[in-house]
Amino acid sequence: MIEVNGKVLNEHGLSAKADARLRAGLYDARMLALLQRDITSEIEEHVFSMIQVVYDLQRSLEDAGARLEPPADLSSGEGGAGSGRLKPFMRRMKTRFIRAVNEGYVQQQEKFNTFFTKAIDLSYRQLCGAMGGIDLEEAAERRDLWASRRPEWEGGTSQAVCGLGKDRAVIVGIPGTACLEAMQEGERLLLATDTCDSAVAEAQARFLPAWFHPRPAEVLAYVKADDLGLVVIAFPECLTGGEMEDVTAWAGEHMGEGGVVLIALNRGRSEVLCGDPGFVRFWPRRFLEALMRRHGFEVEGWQTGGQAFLKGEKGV
Amino acid sequence: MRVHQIVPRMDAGDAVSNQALAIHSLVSTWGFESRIFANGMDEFGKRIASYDHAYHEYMGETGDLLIYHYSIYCGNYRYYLESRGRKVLIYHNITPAGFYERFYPAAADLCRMGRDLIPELAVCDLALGDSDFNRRELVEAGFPAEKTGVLPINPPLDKLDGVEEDEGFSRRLLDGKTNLLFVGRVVPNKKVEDIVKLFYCYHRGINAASRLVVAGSLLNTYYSALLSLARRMGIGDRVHFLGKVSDSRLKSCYLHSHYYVSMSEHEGFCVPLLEAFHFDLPVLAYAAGAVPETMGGAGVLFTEKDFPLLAELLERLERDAFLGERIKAGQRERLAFFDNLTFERALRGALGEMLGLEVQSGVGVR
Repeated sequence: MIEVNGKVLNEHGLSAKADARLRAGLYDARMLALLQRDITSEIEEHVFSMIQVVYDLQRSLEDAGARLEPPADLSSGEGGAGSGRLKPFMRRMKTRFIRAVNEGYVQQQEKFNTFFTKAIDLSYRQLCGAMGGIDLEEAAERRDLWASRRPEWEGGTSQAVCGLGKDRAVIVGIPGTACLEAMQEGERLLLATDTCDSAVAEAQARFLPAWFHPRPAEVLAYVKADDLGLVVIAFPECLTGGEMEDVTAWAGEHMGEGGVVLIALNRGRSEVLCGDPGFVRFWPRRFLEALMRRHGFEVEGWQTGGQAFLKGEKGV
Repeated sequence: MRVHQIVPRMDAGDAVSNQALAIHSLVSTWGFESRIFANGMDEFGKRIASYDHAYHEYMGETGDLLIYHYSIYCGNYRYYLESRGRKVLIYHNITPAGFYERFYPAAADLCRMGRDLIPELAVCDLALGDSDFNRRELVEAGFPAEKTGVLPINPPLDKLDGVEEDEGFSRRLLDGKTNLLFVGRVVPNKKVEDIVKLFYCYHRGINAASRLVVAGSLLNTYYSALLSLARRMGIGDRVHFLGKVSDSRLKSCYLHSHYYVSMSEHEGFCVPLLEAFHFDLPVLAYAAGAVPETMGGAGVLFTEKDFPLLAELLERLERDAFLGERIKAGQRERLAFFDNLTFERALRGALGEMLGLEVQSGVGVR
């Protein structure tokens, strides 16, 4: 029954028109089936909820070495004098991210949730839209490909890198176990360290000297590296500016003449991740060059296979 | 004598907060000391309310009046139960848990706890619903009928009049398409999926130059399911979920939409219906909860969700200007029942005796 201004409307004319459209084929069987569809089946069958997407995204970013959660002990971590308000702000943002993920909908954070959901949805749709369709299975595969990709060097690249410098080598960020194994065979691998526990676990399972740490540069302070000849930074995007500085300075201190620092240039691969500048950063080549020169390295571009590098050689 | 109010939250634009503010303002005008206490609040609320633990100080005062607004389970109900002053409960209704079960189990638990608590709150001098639908729920929960009444909401409808519209957004709405509007939180009891289905019929079968605008904060899981449905229907780019909007954007929505549609299956009052009335937007609403009561015979009410038929009705409204005008006239007439003077008389009728004021009989409390 339809009432207009409190009076029952004669629906015959409307029904006749609706039937006519039905007969004309404007409302086909598929459409009528969609009208009967229960909204909960969108969740059951499609397995596509924003929460799931957020979880997936978080996992992918973490796999890629981007840390979104604060340390479990809530310590200030990389904080320090002079860090100003940025770090507490980032900490709050991280906490809010986690709460939004875990609670899905927090009444007190309605506004944040709204914007957050829209932002995630927008980026996800852009991701899907870039492929001209919304085939979610395919989209999920592509998303994983883009978001969770870690540098995995080919055998030729690994061999070429092994041939650089002399004596022992330290690798920050594991570019695949093949590279570590090549180093180990040449009795050069001193230590590999990474922000990703699965990459480290895979290396350790092959009895390779690998160590997990959320801030790999801090591990280096404990490494006795008298005969160090090569430092490889396989994905600088996952190190902060301070960490980049620390690693290069450490290499400069511990290496003598002829020592080599090799920094991978992953721009093509990390562009998608650069959407979130707080966690995955693209370091401009000029910045990396200046960093290496400051610590006594002569810098030049170097390429092997499909992978580009910046190579710094310690002068006299 | 002091009049205290306790609310779960004091936020800008929130219907319960607006009701508390309207009461605060009137009670102050009548010469009483008035305070609002809230469990949580936004920046706007901080300028007006105190946190509810501060009410401790007044709990033993037998001469005071406490008005407790109940709309969601909130720990501050203990202050209401333990207060020694006179008590008035205003029930704004709580959504049945079933609506949230699949989408947000934690909210479903809160709703369930909130509803389970209602009988315990009967220890009051007067219980008011902001609609008769709400009042009847109180009676069903065990409140003595003679101690219940209705105090309709006093929506600040003129609030948006002083706001500048969002010109950029208005331009986007003024592109010649027919705009269907829904305003409210995008949560399962609002049945936004049924609005999407109606829009699908209208867009597919009748008017391809149309769009659906949904303005209101989003519940993630439900929103994603709605997006999925809209995409499956092929109208993903014609359904616009705006999220929570600013007053200026909300005004643009009301000013430049052509119809307001509600398919909600549970409403304790539904303020956006009156806002649509205020902006002369023909309203089509499903008759559930307090919706028929709020509409009071104005606008278009329907009892069956026959989407192709309702799409035809939209088309008829589009072509029959006389019908559209009659609907708008009826809606304008209905708005008179929610003006400030009527609200003042209703509040005086409800609380006057307790406050020792001169009372006109027959208003507010039944």
